[in-house]
Amino acid sequence: MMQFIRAGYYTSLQDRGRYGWRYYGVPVSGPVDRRAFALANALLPVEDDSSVLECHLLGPKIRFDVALAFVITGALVKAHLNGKLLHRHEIYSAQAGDVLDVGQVQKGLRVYLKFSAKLSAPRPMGSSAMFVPITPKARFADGDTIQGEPIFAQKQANAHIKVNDDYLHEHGLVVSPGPDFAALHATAQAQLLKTPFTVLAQSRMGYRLSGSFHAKASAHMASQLVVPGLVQLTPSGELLVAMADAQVTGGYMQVLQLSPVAQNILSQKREGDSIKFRCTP
Amino acid sequence: MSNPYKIFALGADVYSLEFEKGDVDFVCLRQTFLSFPSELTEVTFTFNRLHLFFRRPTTIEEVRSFVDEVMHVPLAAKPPQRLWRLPICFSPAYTADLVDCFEGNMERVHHYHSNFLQGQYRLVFYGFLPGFGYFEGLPEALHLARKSSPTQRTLQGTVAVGGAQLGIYPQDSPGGWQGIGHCPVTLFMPSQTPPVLLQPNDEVVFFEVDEKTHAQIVEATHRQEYQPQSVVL
Repeated sequence: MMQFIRAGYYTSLQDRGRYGWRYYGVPVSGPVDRRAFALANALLPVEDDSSVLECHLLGPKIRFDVALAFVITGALVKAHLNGKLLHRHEIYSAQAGDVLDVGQVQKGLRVYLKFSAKLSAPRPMGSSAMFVPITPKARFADGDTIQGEPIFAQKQANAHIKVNDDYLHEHGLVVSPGPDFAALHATAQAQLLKTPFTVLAQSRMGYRLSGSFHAKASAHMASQLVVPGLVQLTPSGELLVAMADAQVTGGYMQVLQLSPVAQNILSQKREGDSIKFRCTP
Repeated sequence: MSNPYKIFALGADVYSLEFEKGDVDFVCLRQTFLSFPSELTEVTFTFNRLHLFFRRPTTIEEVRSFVDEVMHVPLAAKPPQRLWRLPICFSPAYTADLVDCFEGNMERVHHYHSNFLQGQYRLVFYGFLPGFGYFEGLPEALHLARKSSPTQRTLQGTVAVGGAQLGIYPQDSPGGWQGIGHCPVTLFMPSQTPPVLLQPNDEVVFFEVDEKTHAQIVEATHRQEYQPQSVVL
């Protein structure tokens, strides 16, 4: 149905996620930016298949073998269909032989691509989300193909909706106290909510943040539940924010929990970006 | 049931109940909570906390009254508990960490291994990696400090100790625990239901195999022909 001429920097298939398997240590996975994912599925709904491509920094170059409609959401990106510049949040129709080139991300980090097709990807544990070792591969490689059954894309009445993109520019993350927040010294609590933090590294598993924040974290606590959005404080004073592929348990101090909106904001931040926490009353 | 508990929130739809350790059988308690599928999508647990995943955002007051309601329901019956005999190989390739821990004193390494083989270990819960089980029952003399920084690659099948905890790596992974031996059995099978060989509350004893037997079990495991022995307790 389509082939990757170029897979891009890190492109994977994600659907709403793999629920019900945390008991066996399997993370939920699914899109890191749930807002962009929901928008893509609202603009181009496919019955019984929420699968999208999640791309990072540099998107894929795809050749279509069949006629398909598609939509782009998430980060601001330079994308072309046969050389014609495309806009996000608009539905386009591609013909067999057309080439879609999703290039460099301009603002944000993660781009989502939704097609008018029911993809025939395997769904181990009920989900198409790529995650090793549940799926054999974590992401696509050059030359990989995607098969599926095209569906007739009904042009949505709201296909030209104005989408508010402010979250790509937002730096404030709304948080609530985590299970170990009370164990922090009062000055550390205040500092945590006042200091700006910088993204040191990020992946689908999580974000590493550092700032001029020095609190003594207890080392080697008993492992407890970790969910996406949980902020852990390591003994070296860094913060680890769990994202979609994060391990389901962890043994660091659990200091904050990001709101769902804050998780989406963070998911579009990259190395070097800065953020600040804001506690809900 | 009227066990006292503390509540922690992880967002608006995930709550953890913390019990005094040893008070509750979490396998039975989880099963009891799972009989309320209109409220909960998933229930998991760690050493001392039961974790409830609600279908919709829920206030802490609603959680309290829901938990009180569930606590009045008879506790679910204990599912069958199995005792597994798993092979372990102590050849030098798999015990380098332990040799380091004892600074090359092989007498202490052998002593550690013979004490380890006398133990019986209980699977408490899965976490960290898909199919990574946390086992308890390691006597204090066998506790080992974690590595000061994690190594890039701990081999699949490594039986490892981190502090008081015992685990078996279901896949190659970075790891901070000390490898004490290698168990060649496949413990996590993503395409099967359930995807694990051992269930929480199952017990394990290890028996030593030499390198040759270990290699034979590895091969039989690849052919999916090796089935470790177990009995219902």
